[in-house]
Amino acid sequence: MGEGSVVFKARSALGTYEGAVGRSVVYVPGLHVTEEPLLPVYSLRVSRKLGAVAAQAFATACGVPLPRQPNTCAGTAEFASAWVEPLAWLLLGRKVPIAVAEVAPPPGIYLTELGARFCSLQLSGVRAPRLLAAAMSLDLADGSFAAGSCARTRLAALGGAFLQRLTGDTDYRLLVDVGLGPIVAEWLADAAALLIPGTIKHRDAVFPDGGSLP
Amino acid sequence: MSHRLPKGGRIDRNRPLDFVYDGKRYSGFAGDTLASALLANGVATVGRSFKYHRPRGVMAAGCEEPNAIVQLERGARTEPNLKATQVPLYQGLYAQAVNCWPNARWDVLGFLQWFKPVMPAGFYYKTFMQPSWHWYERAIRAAAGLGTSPLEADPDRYDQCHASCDVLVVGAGPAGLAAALAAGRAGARVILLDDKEEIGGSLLYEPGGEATAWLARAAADLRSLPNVALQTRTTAFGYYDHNHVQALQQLHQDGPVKDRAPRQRLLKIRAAEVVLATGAIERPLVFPNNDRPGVMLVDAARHYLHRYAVVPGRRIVVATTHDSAYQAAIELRQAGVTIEAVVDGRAVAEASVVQQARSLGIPVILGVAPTDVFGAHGVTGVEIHAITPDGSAVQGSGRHFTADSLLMCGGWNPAVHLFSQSGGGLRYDEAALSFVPSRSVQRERSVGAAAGDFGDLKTVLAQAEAAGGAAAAARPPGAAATTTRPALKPLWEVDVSPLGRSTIKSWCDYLSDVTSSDLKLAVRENFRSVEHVKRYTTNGMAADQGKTSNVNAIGIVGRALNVPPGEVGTTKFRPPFDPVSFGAIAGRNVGVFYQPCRRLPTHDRQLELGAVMEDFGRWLRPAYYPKAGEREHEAIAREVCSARTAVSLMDASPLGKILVQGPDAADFLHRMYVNNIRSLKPGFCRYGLMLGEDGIVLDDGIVSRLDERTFLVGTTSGKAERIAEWFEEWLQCEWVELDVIVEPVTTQWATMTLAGPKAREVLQRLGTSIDLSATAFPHMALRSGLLDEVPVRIVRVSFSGELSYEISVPFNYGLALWDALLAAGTESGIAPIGVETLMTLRIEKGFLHVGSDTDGMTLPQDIGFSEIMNKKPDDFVGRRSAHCPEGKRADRRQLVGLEIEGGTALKVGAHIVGNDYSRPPYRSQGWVTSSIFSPTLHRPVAMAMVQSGRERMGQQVRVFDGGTLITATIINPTVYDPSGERIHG
Repeated sequence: MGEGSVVFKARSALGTYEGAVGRSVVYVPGLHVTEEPLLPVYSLRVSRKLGAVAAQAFATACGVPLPRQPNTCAGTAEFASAWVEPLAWLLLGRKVPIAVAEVAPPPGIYLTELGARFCSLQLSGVRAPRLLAAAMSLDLADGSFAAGSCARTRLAALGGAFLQRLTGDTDYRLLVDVGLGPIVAEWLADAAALLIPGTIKHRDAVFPDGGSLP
Repeated sequence: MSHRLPKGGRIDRNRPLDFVYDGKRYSGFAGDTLASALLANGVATVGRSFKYHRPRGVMAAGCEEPNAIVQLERGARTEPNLKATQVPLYQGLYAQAVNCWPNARWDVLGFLQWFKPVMPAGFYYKTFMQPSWHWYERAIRAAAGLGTSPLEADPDRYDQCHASCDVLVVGAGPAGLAAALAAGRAGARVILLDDKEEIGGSLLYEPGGEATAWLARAAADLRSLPNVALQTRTTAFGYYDHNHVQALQQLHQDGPVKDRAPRQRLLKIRAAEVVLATGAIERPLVFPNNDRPGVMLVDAARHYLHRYAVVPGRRIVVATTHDSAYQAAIELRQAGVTIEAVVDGRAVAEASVVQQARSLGIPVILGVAPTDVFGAHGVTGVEIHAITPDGSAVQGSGRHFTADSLLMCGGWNPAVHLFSQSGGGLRYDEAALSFVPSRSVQRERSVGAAAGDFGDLKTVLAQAEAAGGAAAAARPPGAAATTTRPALKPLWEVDVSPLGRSTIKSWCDYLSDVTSSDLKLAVRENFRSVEHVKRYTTNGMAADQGKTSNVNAIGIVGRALNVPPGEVGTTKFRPPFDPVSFGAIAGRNVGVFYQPCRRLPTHDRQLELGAVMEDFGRWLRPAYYPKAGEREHEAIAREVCSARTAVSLMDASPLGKILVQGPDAADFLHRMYVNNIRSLKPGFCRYGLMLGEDGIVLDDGIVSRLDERTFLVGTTSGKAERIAEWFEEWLQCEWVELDVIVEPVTTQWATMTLAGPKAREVLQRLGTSIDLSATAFPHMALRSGLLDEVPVRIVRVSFSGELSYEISVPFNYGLALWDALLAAGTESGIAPIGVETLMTLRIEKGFLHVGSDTDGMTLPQDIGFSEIMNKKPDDFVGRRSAHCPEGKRADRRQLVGLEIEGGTALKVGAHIVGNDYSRPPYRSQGWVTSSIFSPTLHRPVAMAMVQSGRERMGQQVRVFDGGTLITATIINPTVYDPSGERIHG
């Protein structure tokens, strides 16, 4: 090491440091939008010559079986795999299996850490689908986008996004580019304030009018 | 005289409202529209026509209204060209008629109507030409046009929402309600739209009985179905591909919006099946002076009677060629109005309705039609004549009625606009004398009047229910049901030429001010296609989109061409069906959301440092960092000095980064770049130039080889996504045999650039696990290591011409890295620099910037890549195109430097001329592409693309800069440290 030892701390797109609780962007009855700071995310790709079967074998050996259907997820709430393309998946969640974090994949399998690339937001509450409908054209009805579904789509005029429907009533995970994280949070807060009468927008977050900040 | 009936209507008489129109105060009731309130107050003249400034009155009751065009409110909230029939009345409403001064009743330009004979359609193509059109342009533009756009920012907010459903039903009249109920009961997710506040359509003004009872039951049933979403005040205006329908919802219509609530919402609906129950629009009759105030469509009169308790007059003549008009006459008679006569252009009408009318004392005269209307600001009389079967008036058969209103019905046009937008094909129905849906191309079906079904209510409901059920089951639409219709007589216009009169006042399109004589003139001038007739006459081109004029125009044109209307055809239907505000289209994508920028990992710190932030490739980046009292060029000069003499720091995170991996990665990149990539060793990097298939320079960047099978490709900031897609296109479509993976990682990594003679010492002070000595870490090398357990990758590459390192860590450590470098560099005199400074540094060094020094014509040989291309034996993308004959021309423009006489920097884009230049026209020899005043060299420095530039080194040229000629000498673009000593330090 050189002259000065540096202690580095990771900071999320919305300014949350490692170890701190994620920021609330919207916190009103029926709608919560909260940051998931520094969420571990990996991209798993496989060579066309090996195919999805080889990727499935590797992932299963790591303890993260891959979904078989397009636009679906597999795994648990703590760590899941999500279909992105025929030969590409995202592996994401807080409890990263050791095999994923530390074991080098065999030739033809490519595992790239992408956690820093994304800003992750969780949306929950009965109003979450309505808020998302302001931004994306996905059909979010239960029959079309049930728990365990995922999709890449456009988020209003802000750019691409990845939406995952988590288990539970109306819980969603929204991944956007880390550089767009702040503006997306502001946009969602603005949309929530427009949607729900009696809310106020405090800087770039929305809370019930007269309510206290959590 | 008030035209409001003492009782009836669906208005709230307990809530009187005051409003101002054209400077005068009036009153109405809650539930009124502006049009109904004006009619109730006896206001006949509500506007002036577009070209001729003829006085006009309310003619219709909905979006088809062509006359009552108003400017609503003032100031920031003023909105032009609204139809008074669609403006709900509210307390304090302020509106004025457009296209007139000082008001509709007394318009100074009213005299223009007398010049109609010399101002027919297209007159402006033949007049106002000499000596120049521009002599007349200003006056004509001032006289033309309708309302005025607001000059202040719109204070209102607009929302947008996506929605999906199994069945979308457009129109909540009887057919739409029946279809929605059937689909809803079958369990489908249904969205039902209607542009009115109340559902029911024509049933709302059925005078009680079975229809009213059915409506009440249907409304209650619909509301009880949780899978049916009813959206009123919502107009579907566009039908696009894949059953995508857009609609505009009015959220607030009670005056100016308070509390920042949205005023309108744009709905973007994707439906599995669509049912169009959009009804039909009544057709006017075309005869002289049919545009007088007081002339109205029959069904509109019915509408005003039942919904607003307003009658259009007290002595009314009803002119028709359709049975539907008789019901209106009967109802008006029952409301106490004197019906002077029902004049029917047909020789035979439905016996029962004629009988019923006569039994109420209403005279019915068959085989006659109106031939003139009297009264400039309200009807005072109507003249009729007998007509022949082809619509010609019979001399000597004239008769006059004293009346204060004339109602007219020339038949019905199914509202096929959305159907046509969906791509569906129309056919002309000879029995109905209208265009009806014939062939669907999307999963859609039309029901009720929209399908041309004007049968009895029971039949219509039954067919609509069947359609709704089929839609819910996602069954394709069946064959259109055929109903036997009584023969209707085509009366496209009343021909008054046998009376020795002209048709220059027989209006067809009221809003565009087009008469039947204009249409016939167009045909005489050999405009045969209906699209050409439309554009020459402007029929159908105004805000009402020809809702009341198109079919009459087709009939008149058909007669002139001697072809049936079906052969003339319709013009292309395009969205929007009804005008949509720009605010709704923009939604919330305004202000900071209009062109959202990505933020640097150091964004907050940049603001603290006082950086001037600007949009560079949709990233918000520091342009420069002014200290107190500094102007821009002073700040940049100071920052340049820091980079040249000490050390500078820049957040370069937006630089594009793409990971390319696989056993064939080297081969792949070798094909994508002009340069030799195969020979690049692990741990080193190389400048790469990429071409398009056309040989034109596409992008450049640093390509780093991490190991045998892994490359990190650098691209221009903001271009990484496009280049990654470009890579994928080649891999998936052309070179499928290559085993390569592409992974965009631009924002996985934050990158800080340390540049300057003291860069190494600062980096050493930071403390990494990497050997930074010059021998261990030469220029164009790459090293990886750790920085306090954080992975770090350092590339020694320079865009400034100084010793320089690009240090990358995961994006979420970017701020920490910035802070650490600033702290480590304090004793070395570190200074943050912005993009403007970087551009200055690279121009001093003569480094190419793709996009500034290149354009859509630049080939690699123009920027000095001939030798590299010629040395590379293998093919690469764009090679063949770069060597096309045009690319081999000796006089191509080439990138050079310019040494400028005098102390002023040239303007970018200034043209190079030879010494023989005296004045334009002159063939340019090239232009300035980059230009600065160099703080390092204390003189102006420029780069330019100059014809045969590299063969003209040392030659003097002149630069045409904003009218001044400046002398310059062509030189090598590298004016600073040409040997490159400082980079290799």
